[in-house]
Amino acid sequence: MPDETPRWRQRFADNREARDWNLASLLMSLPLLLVGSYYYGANALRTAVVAALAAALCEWAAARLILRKRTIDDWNAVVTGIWIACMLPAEVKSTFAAPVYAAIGAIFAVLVVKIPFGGTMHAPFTPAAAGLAFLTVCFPKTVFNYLPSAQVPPLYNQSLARMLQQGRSVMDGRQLSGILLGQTAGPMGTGCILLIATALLASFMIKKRRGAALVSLAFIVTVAVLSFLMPRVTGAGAGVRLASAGMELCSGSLLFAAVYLLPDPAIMPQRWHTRLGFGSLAGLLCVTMRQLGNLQQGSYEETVWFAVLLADAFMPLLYRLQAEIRNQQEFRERVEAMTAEERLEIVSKKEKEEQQRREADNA
Amino acid sequence: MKDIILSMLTAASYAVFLRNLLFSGGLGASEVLRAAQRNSEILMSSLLVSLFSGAAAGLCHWLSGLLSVFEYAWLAALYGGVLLVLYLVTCGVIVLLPLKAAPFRPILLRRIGMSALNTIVMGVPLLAHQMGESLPGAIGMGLGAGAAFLIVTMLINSGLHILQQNKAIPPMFTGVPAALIYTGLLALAFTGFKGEILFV
Amino acid sequence: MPKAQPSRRWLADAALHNPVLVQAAGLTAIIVAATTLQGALLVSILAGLHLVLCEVLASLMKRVPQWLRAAVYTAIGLAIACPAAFLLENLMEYLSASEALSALASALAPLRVFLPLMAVNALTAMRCERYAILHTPGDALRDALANALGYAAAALLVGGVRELLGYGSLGGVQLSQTLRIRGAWMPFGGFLLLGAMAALLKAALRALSVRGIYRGAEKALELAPEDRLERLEKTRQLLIAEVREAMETKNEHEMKNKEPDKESFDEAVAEILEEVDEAKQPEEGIEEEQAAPETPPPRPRIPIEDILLELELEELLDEFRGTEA
Repeated sequence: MPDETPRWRQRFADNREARDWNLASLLMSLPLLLVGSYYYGANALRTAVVAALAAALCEWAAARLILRKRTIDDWNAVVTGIWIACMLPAEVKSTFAAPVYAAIGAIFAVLVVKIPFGGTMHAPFTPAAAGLAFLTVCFPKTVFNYLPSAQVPPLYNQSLARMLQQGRSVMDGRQLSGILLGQTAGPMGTGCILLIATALLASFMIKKRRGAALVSLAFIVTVAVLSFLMPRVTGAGAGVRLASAGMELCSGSLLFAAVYLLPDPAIMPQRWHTRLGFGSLAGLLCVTMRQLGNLQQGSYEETVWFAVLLADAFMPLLYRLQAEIRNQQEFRERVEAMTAEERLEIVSKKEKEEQQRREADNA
Repeated sequence: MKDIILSMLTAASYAVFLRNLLFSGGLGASEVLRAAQRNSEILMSSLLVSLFSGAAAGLCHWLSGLLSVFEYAWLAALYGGVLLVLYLVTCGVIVLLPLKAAPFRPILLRRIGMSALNTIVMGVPLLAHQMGESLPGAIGMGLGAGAAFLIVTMLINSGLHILQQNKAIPPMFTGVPAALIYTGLLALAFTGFKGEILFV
Repeated sequence: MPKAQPSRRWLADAALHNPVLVQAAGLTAIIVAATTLQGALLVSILAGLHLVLCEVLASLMKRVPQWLRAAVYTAIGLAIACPAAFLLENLMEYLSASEALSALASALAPLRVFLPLMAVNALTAMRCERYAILHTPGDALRDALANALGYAAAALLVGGVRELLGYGSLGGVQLSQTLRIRGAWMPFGGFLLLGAMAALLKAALRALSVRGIYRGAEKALELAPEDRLERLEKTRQLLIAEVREAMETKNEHEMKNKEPDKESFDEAVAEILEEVDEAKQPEEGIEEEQAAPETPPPRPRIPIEDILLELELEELLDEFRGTEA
C-alpha cells in the first residue's frame, strides 16, 4: 500500500483522537453559528440543530444496521450537519422550511458518502461537500435564495457571488468592515470572514492542525492569484483586479470551504508538498468552475463544494501514479541487478517443468 | 486555420467538462467501468475512442452535408452504418498486418471491438448533429470524447483501487455497488461545471 | 448441484446474475432513458429483443471471427433501434397533439435522441461473447430471456423510483405535486440509485445463501470479478516482494563470500510462479461449474509468456523470447 494514502489510523492512534479532532472542528464552527443566529435569529440555530440531529440519528441507525458497529462516538455526524446548515440560507421561501433541506443534505452525506464506504474514516469524499453539492443540484433556487436579515440589513441586495457573475464590483474601503463581518446576503454561517480567518490562524498555532492549515492556505493563495489574473469584475487596472480577488475570497462559502471542508483528515495527504498541491488543485478547480460558470446561462453562483469533491477524486489518482512509479523503479532496479544467466535460468527451469508436466499428462 | 483549431479546442473542452459525455449524458458507462478495471487497457482504449469518435464525427458530418436525410432515425442509421464501415475497414487492415505483428492481432481486434462499437463513439456524431456543430467542431468533440474517456476512466480506476484496499466496506456494498456509488459521486462533482444535461 | 426447474432457474439467473446490478452491463440505457416507467419499459423491450436475436445468432456463428460477430450485433441493433426511433418520432407527434397523452409524450421525449444508441448495447456483446458462442441455440435463448428479464426488472425498478422522486408521478399518474428532486433524473442520480439497488440485491442474495435457499449464490459471490482482480493484484505484489527478498538473500550470501544459493532462489521464484498459475481462474467459473458438476475443472496450463505479460515483466519476457530464438 503506498504510504501517501491517508488513513485515519495513520493519523489518529485511536477513536479518541478522531473524536478530539471533530470536537475541535465543532468548537471552531460554533462562533460562526452564533454570528449567524445574531443576523438571522433563532432560524439559524434551529436549522443547525435539525441538521446535526438528522445526521447523527441517520448515522446511528445505518451504522447499527449495515456496519454493525457504533460510529457516532467520533462526533463527525454532528459536525457534518452543522457545516451543511452553515452553508445554507437561514430562511427560505420554498416548499419546505430551511431545516428540512439541511436535514436532506445531512442524510445524503451520511447515507451515500459515509456508510457505503465503511464510515467517516474511509469516505472517499468530504461528506458535507457532497451534501451541499446534492442540494445545489436538486434545489438550486432554494440554496441560493438568500433572504435579507431582519436584524441587520445587508449592505447590498445581492450576494457577492451573484454580483461577481454580473461583473459588478463593490469593494469599497468604507464597506470593507461590513463585508468582513458578514453583513452581506449569503449563507447563514459563512459570511463572517473575520472569524474564519481567525480560525485559520488558530489552526496554524495548533501543532496537530498545521497540516490542515497548509492545505487551506494553498487553496486561498491559488484562488487569490488566479482571480487577480482573471478578474470577473468588469474594468481594467490593478485596483479592479484586487477588488475582484477580494470579492472572490469573501463571496459565498469559499473561505469556509477552504478552512473547514477541504482539510478532511480522511482524504488530505500527509506530506507538506502534496498538501500544497492538493490545496492548489482545489483552488484551480474552483476558479475554473466559476470562470466557466460566467460563460453559461443559469450556472450556480457557488461551486466550491464541487471543487472540493473533484480535488478529493484526484487524490487517489495521484497516489496511484506515485505508487506505480515507485514500485516500477524498485522492481526494475532489482531485475536489472540480476545477471542475464540468472534470468535465463528462472524462465528455462519453469519451461522445463511445464514440459515435464505436459509429457506426464500425455503419458 | 486558427479558427479551425479554436473551434476544435472549444468543442473538445466542452466534451470534457461542460458536456462530459459520461457524466452529463451517461454514455459509455459500462465501457468505462470495464476499462477502469484493467490498468493496461486505459490508454489504448481512450486513444481508440478518440480516433473512432473523431473520424466517425467528421465522416458523418461530411456525409450529412452531401445527403439530405431529414428523419432523425434514418440519419442515425446512416451514422451507424458509417461507424460499422469504419470499424470493418480498420479490422480488415489489422487482419492483413504482416506476420511479424501477428501476435498483437487478437489483442488489437478485441480492444477495437470494445472501443469502436460503443455508445460514446456512436453518440458523438449524433450529438454533434443535434447541436449544429461545424466539421472542426464535430471532430473536436470526437477527440474530446476520448480525452473525457481517459480522464474519467483514470479517476474511476484509481477510485476502484482505493475501494479494493478498503476493508471496512460493508459486504453488501463491496464490488459493483461501491463502484457505482463512487461513479455517481464523481458525476455529482462534475455537475459543478453546470453544463447541459444531454438527452433531456 | 441438482439442476433446478427451467422456470425457477430463469428467475434465479435473472436475480443472481442480474445483468445490470451484478454484471454492471447495459448501464447507459438505464441511466439515460430509464427516468420514467414508460421509458424504462421501452428500453427493456428493445434491449430484450436485441439480446434474444443476437444471442441465438451468435450461438450459430461459432466459426465466425470475433471482430466480425461484433459488427453483426451492431447491424442487428441498428435494424431494431432505428425503426423504433422512427416509430417513436411519429408516435410523439400523435401523443403531443392529444391532451390526455401529452404526459406520455413528455415522458418519452428524452428517448428521441437516445434510442438509436441502443444499437450498441454492451450487454448484448458481453452475453454473446461470454455465453452464446459456447452453447447451443436453445441454451443461448434461455440465457437471453433470463438476462432480458433481469434487465427489465432493474430498468423498471430504477425508472419507477426516478419518476417518483424526480417528477412525483408513476407511470404518468401524478401522485405528488411537491416531490421534485431534480437529481433523480440526472445521470448521477441514476448511478447512485443503481448502486443502492445493487447493494440491496447483494444483501438479499447473501441472506438467501446463508439460509441455504439458493446455494449457487455463495459460489457466484465468491467468484465475482472484483475478487479475482484483487487476488491477481495481491499475487503480483507478492511476487515483487518475494523476488526482492530472494535477491536480498542472494546478496547476503555473496557478501559472505559464499556460493550464492541459486537453488533456493530458483525454488522461491518457481513457487511464486505456481501461485500465479493458481490465481488465474477461468473467466466463467459459474458456467463451468454448472456444466460439469461432478468432475473438478482441469487446472489451467498458462504459458509462461502470458504470466510474464500479465505481470508486466517485460525484461524477463525479452530474455525468454531470446532463449526461444
